[in-house]
Amino acid sequence: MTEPGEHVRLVEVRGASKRYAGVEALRDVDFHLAPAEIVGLVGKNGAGKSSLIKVIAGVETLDEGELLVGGAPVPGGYSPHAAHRLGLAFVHQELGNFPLLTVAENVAIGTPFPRRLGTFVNDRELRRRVRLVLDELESTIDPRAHLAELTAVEQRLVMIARALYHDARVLVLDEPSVSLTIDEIAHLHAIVRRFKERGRTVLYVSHRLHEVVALTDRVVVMQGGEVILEQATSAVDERRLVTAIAGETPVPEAAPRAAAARAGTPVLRAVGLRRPPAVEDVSFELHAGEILGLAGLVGSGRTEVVRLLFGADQPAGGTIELDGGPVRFRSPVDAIGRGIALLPEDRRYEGLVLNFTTRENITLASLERLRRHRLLPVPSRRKERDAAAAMIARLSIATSGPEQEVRRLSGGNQQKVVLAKWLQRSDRVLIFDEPSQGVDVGAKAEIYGLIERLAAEGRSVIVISSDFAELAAVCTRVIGIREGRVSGVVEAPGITEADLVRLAYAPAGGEETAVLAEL
Amino acid sequence: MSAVTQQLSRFGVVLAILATFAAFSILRPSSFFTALTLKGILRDCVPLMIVALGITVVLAMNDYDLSVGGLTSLCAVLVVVLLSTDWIGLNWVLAIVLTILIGGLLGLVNGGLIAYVKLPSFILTIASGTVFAGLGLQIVNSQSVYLGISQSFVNLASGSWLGLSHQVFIGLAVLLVAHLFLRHTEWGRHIYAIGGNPEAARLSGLRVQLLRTVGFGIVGVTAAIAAILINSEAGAANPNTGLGLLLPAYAAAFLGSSMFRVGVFTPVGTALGALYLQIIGTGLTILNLSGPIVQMIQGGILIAAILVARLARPQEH
Repeated sequence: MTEPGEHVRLVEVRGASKRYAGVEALRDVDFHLAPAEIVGLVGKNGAGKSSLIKVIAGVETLDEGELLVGGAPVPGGYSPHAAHRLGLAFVHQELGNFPLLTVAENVAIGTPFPRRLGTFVNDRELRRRVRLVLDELESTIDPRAHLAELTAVEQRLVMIARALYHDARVLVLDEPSVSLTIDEIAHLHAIVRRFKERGRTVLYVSHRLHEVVALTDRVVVMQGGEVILEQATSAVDERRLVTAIAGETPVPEAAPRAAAARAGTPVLRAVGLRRPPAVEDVSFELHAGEILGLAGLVGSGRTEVVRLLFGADQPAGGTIELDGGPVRFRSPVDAIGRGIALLPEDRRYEGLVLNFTTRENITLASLERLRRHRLLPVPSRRKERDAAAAMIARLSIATSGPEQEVRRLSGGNQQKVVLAKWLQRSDRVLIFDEPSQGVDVGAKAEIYGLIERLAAEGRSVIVISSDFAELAAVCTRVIGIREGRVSGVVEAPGITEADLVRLAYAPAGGEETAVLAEL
Repeated sequence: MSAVTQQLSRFGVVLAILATFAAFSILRPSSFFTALTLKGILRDCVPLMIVALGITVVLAMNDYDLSVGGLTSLCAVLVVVLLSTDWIGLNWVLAIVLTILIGGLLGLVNGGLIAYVKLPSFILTIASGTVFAGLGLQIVNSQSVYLGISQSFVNLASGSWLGLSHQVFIGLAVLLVAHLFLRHTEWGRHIYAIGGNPEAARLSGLRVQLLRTVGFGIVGVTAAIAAILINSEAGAANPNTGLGLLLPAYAAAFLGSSMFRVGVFTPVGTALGALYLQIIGTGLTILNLSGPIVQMIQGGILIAAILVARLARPQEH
């Protein structure tokens, strides 16, 4: 085991700071990668992992501090292209691959293809060279296969093969094991190890701590934009990592929650919901006045569960019951018709019509209540404006007025507009997916205060959040979602952030740990 | 982005119309700036405007319907075949109603295949437009139909009232309906929402698939109305009626989208776009420029219009 800090530094970040719209994403970070090591990078969402990777990849530039590659500071105008030329390769969750090209083409893309007569692509030679790389990774994938025909893990392998083919010295894998089966993860780990044996370096970003412990040589924990732990993996265990990740985030001030009364028929009930690979088996009940939290990591299946509840996707198995009767939502139209509202996680792409005004967005789901005459489908501009103005006041949305284009609002205010759109209706079940993401502290408190008021009115609320401190403070009950299953339940009063971190991270059973231990 | 360009683009079409109009009037005061010519411009732009209004609906949903040329040709054949005493010889009102219904139905088929079967609108409508055009030619054996057309049908478009062609009033009526539908009803709002963000529209509970289907149905209806007016004016059916309509219809809609809120397709904008194209067309004809030159000028104007619209649009980051 090498000691951190003693070896050559392939990539180094010194005193790095980065701010986005006043939020500190990186604060005085020192970080490095040495040759032939596997480094694990862990931390909560928003801890600064992505920002760090983006800086190394040339997608973002630092406000302060410097980036060195191969011991030399990177030149001005450092870009993703420059990062590629310096031998850094990145595999993101959304794979940057070409489904309609062959494996060989996907591996070699970005380098000059071997040619015949200086013009035509020499496919045979291309396949031969790619075959060599695949052999090094002990893979039997056919270079002639089209990428779309491959499984998820094979596609990730192709991306790793690309890094090898391009002679990359550093490979950054961002959540590479999401949606892979246990066997596939084992396969992935074997490939990563082989990559390292060729003298290359891997930065492995994952929420799955047992993987990080099993695979990496060194582990770096980030929290609130800072590196708070950096150690040889052999010197830490999962529990130590969980504590470091959870940290001591100040819990927002909220009255201690009491458990909501849960009498009578549940408003909403999920029984054995399935939609592999994201959702394997999820059951729970939701009563009137409850604020139910779903604690899970990105990729745990939590978002997919609520999409099923909302009819945005169709379950492969299991049932949804509303007031005790089974229901089937073929589309969101059905779910909305039964009084269920979803505030999506990705508001820019799923929540807002960006070229609409604030008013038009707020009234979009409730136009039929704002008619000029009850029987004519003609919205009354005056009623719309009044309704929008009332919402703008109620949620203190910072806008120049109802007619301001919503794209010009800040992230927090955009989230409030999505919220306003649904409050404008009076739905019984409101599902909030990451309601406070990208929202400043003040707006956060307002949104959580509002959720509490909604529950007090007797509505049922489901909240998904990666911010476990907030979930612990606001929810009356929280269920953990991990790898598509319910991993446990905790109930107010007395929900702690540590409880939720355990629910979200802790391995479900011995089986998986055993498989990984064998590697 | 300077304020000048912004203002220029905001009223670009209006300014361009006035400038062009003034230019032609100065160049040819005795032939262009006459009541006859001006009335002719108002009359001749109507069929184009009506087709362009249908296109505006699908463009507002961020879709394309390229079958509109073929569909107009087919409807032109249908209405005359239905009413001509040499053919089926139906009452002319019934023939018109049937043609509009068939046009709408064919549009709905396009829309259904796009919204529910999820075929790409671009290529599907090129293909179906080709089928429509071929069908029209086949029915009349590629010949125009002149005979057995009732005078009442011809009077529909070529008659006049208050010194203006009936077409002008029909055009204004269609424009009013399109404007009220798109700008003042729930459906209209939903259509723009779909164009802005289909996933957000779906998650807001809008009937996205139904509306998309209906949008293409509307194109069919407008194609039928335009075909009827063209035939009525000509007193004949030409199976190639729609050939020259497709590109000008899109040109009118895009010219119109550079007005008001930049990049938003509106019925009024489209109507002004169609009017502008007609002024140019008539004016250049009076200037006695050759067909190819006219073509180049019209194409160049469209490029200039979308360029201005692009420059004025708020930059995405």
